[in-house]
Amino acid sequence: MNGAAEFFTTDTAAFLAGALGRTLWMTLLGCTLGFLLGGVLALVRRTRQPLLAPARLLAGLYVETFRRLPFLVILILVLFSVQAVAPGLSLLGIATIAVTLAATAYLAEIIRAGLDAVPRPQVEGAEVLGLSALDRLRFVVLPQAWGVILPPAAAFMVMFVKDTALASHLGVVELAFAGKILVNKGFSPTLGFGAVLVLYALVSWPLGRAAAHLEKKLVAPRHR
Amino acid sequence: MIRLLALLWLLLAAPLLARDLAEIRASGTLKVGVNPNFPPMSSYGPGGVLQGFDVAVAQELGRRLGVKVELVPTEAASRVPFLVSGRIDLSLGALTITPERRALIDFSVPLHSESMGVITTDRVSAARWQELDRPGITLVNMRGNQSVSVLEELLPRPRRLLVDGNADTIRAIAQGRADALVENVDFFIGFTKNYPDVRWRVLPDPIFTAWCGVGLAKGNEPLRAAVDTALIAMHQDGTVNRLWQAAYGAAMTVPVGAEQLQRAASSGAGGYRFDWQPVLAALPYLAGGALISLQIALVAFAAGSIIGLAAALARLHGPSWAARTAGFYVGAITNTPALVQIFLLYYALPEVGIMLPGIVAVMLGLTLNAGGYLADILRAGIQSVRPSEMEAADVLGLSRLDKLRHVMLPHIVATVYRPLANFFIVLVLGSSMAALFGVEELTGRAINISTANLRTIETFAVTGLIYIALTLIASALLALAGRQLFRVRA
Repeated sequence: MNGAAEFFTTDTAAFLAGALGRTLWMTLLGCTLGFLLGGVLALVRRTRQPLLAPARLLAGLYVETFRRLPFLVILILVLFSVQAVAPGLSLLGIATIAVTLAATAYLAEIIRAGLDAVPRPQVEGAEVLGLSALDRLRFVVLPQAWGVILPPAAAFMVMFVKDTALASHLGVVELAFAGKILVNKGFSPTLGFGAVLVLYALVSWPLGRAAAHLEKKLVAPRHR
Repeated sequence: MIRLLALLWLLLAAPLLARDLAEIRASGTLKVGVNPNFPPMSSYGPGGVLQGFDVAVAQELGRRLGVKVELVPTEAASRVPFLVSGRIDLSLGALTITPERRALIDFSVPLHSESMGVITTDRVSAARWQELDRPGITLVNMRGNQSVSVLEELLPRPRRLLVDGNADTIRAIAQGRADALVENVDFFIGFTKNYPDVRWRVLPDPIFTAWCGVGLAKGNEPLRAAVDTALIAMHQDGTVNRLWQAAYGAAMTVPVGAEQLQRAASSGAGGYRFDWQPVLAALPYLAGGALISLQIALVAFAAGSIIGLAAALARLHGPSWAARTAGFYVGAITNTPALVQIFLLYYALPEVGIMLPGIVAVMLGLTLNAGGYLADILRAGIQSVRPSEMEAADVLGLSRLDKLRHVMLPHIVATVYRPLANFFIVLVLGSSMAALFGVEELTGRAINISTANLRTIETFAVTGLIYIALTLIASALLALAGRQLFRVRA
């Protein structure tokens, strides 16, 4: 078994830094795409057009489905579905798609709650004033909904940093898998997984604090 | 900025180490990994020369691809890493086609089967393996073998005799100490030749069949196509069966049929055809797994609530050392992944002499994890009670118990019920992590099935539907309970 002296080397540090990079990459890209797609789903679900009823149903079905699937199951399904159509895509790419699919569903729900927080009479008033749907969204709904959406969306993203650990099952060398590789190399599990835990905490804790700060800044004044 | 992007690119781009077909042809040598300690697949024969089924297959593949073969002795655990690093071009050695491995490497069409079946004698009157499920039967198996736990599910009634080596299993049956062996028939049947006086028989209908293929590095398409073409030809002209017969002295129990060659070929390139039959047949097995998932979630929720309540009270009303400890616990738990927490319990505790079985490590890990999140939820609930209302209760002269029942609890329940119900759903979904520690709950069983039937998309689509049904039922029951018992809208 390798000792602590061999562990704290530049090689190990570079290896862990690369893994941390992949963890953050999956989270950042997946959640950003998920935010955009989730926004589209939330807007589709708000429409009133009778013609768009099937789209509303599909959007609702998507959100309900993907919030009730374990992330591990989503990862496996994406891996095997994507492999059939694009065998060349990297595992990191596949994991990022899985993060996007899951994040879309959760963020769609968060965004919908934010949009619903804007009192309906205001929207109807804007409609009477002759504002187009886009203008109602831009000038009436979004300015007010923003403060309700952003804090839980940020909190969700911080949470997902940890959930990406399951991508280790696909073989993506992110932080959790990096820990496993180090342990398989002969380092003590306490050291290998302990170091990985500390790295997760070092990322998650300040981000969590920032999200909480955002929430205080944006939400608290209303309830005072 | 560009530098940063370049650095990011370097970190993300996987190094391409495996050799492609053109490089292999140019070098004139194909490097094939075989297990040196796996007779009759491959082992060192007279003069230290490797021989066996895998060796013969490797030579034949080399001949058909027009290159020389260099055999590389490769232990079971190194097969995948050696492929990934390009130390070997192909891996043999009964490499079972599994989802876990498919994530890391590619497979050719199946080379041979690995079928779990029953070896018994004419002393036992059973025509199918299901008929062995009765108390008078003794099944022999090898200690620590994976099939032992599978058997407890499929054939719970017979007595068990555990022995230490491959040859011991067949000896136990020959000596009458056991009636049957349920294992990979091909790997064990050879030992029956040591007891020619016993009338051996293999029951038809294997319990399940997995397929072994030739492993290749991921994305090495031209090489895979060349190997597939050669293998399909070797199956069709009878070469594979001839080599198998020569090594094993018997035919393959479940031969590789046109269907397997078709399936594997079609799953590679776009034209995927769905086949739901295998997974639908396994629905009861999956449903049993769902119950275990639910159990894991319930245990973690119940035990986690107690820990969470203690931590919440310590942070709000405890002495400063207790508040600090609880705060550290909650911070440590909620800022790190549950998966890595369980890794630590499962892999690191044995260092201090505590060996937890997979399911215990998962339940303990999820409990500790739930404790951290539930502490936050419960703390918010306790804080929702306004001091002014407590003062009013004081003025009214309510007893401590009445204050708790009529003033505090209604507030707390109203605040925490919905987050608690949501968290229970999170735990049901989170229990799927147990599969990564060998627990056979819903996801674990789905992995088991798809390993054998190669119908991963269908299997996991059905598994996903079971999770959806499970959480919908749980949500509905929780909402109902909330309305009926606590008058809370959840």
